[in-house]
Amino acid sequence: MRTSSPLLLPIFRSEGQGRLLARVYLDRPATLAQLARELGLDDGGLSREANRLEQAGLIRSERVGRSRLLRPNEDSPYYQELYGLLLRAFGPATVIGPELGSIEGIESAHVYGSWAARYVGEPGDDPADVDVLLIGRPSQLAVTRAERSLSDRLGRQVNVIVVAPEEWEAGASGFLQHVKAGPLVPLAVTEGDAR
Amino acid sequence: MTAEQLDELMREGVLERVPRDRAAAGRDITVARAHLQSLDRVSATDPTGAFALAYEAIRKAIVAHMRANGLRVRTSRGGHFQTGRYALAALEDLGVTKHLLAYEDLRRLRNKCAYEAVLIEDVDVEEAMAHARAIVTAVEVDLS
Repeated sequence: MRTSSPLLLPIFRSEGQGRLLARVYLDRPATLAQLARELGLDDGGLSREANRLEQAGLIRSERVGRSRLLRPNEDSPYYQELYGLLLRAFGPATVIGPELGSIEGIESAHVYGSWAARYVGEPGDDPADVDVLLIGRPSQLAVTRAERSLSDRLGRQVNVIVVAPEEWEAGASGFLQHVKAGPLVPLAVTEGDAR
Repeated sequence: MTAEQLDELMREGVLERVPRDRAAAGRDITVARAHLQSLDRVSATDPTGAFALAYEAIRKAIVAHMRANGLRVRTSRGGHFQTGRYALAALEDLGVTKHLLAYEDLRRLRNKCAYEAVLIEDVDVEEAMAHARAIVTAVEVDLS
C-alpha cells in the first residue's frame, strides 16, 4: 500500500495511511474488509498498516467473529490533535454526506473544484474552500444552515451549489460541463452520526 | 434588552446613538406589514421574490425597533449582518429568539440569491414567512 504522501496534508507517510486514519477517526468503526473495499486498498497492505498504527497506539482493533473491527484510540495522547488534523484535511469526504443526509430532496452530492483535485492527487495550492455540488431540490435554507455548520467544523469555507436533477442530466451550461470534466469526489448522503 | 450585549456593540462601533424617532419606526412597521401582505400574493408565482420580501419585512421591523430606541447600525461593517446581531441582543425578551436565530441564514441565502442563480423552494418561502410574521408582530406589539 505504498503510495505517495497525500497532497491535502503531506505529513502522512502515504495516501493510504492518511485515508485509513481519516476513515477510522472520522466515521463509524469498520472491519478491515469494509475498509479495503471502501478505500480501494489491498487487504495485505491495509492489514500491515493497521498493525503499525495499532502498535503506535493510534487505533484499536477488536475481533468480532472472523472480522477485525478498527476504531480510534481515544486514550492516545495524540488523539485530539490527530482528530483535528484529519478532520481539516480529509473531513470533507466523510463529514459532509451525513450532515446533508438530514435534508430532504437530495439525490446525490459530490465535492468538486480544488479540494477534490487535491484529494484525487492533482497537485496545486492548499484549497481555500470546499466546493460541493448537490443534485436535487432541497430546501435552500436547510442547505445554507448546513454550509455554515460545515464551514465552522472543517475550518474552511464550504460552498454548496444546488443543481436540479434534469439540469445536471442535460449538463448544458458551461459551468456544469466544467464540473463534469473535473474530479468529483462522491459523498454518501445518508443520515448518520459521523463525528 | 440585554444592556451588556448592546454596550458591547456600542464599544465595537457597530451601533451609534441617534435621536429616537417613533414616527419613522411606525412607518417601517407599516412597510414591513405591506411586505407580508405582498408576499402572500406573490409566493405561488414568485418564490424568490416572496423570500426577499419576507427577509426585508424582518429587517424593517428590526430597524423600526432601533429607531424607536434611538439607535442605528453603522453600515461600514456589514449593515445587514450587524442588524442581526442587534436583534439577538435587543429583542431577547420578545419571545421570538428562535425566529431571530434564523435571521443570519435568511441573510446569507438572500445574499446568495443576489449573486447566484438560486431557485428558492416553496418550503423556504413558508419558513421565511413564519419567521417574518412572528418577528414583525412581536416588534409591533413591543412598540405599541
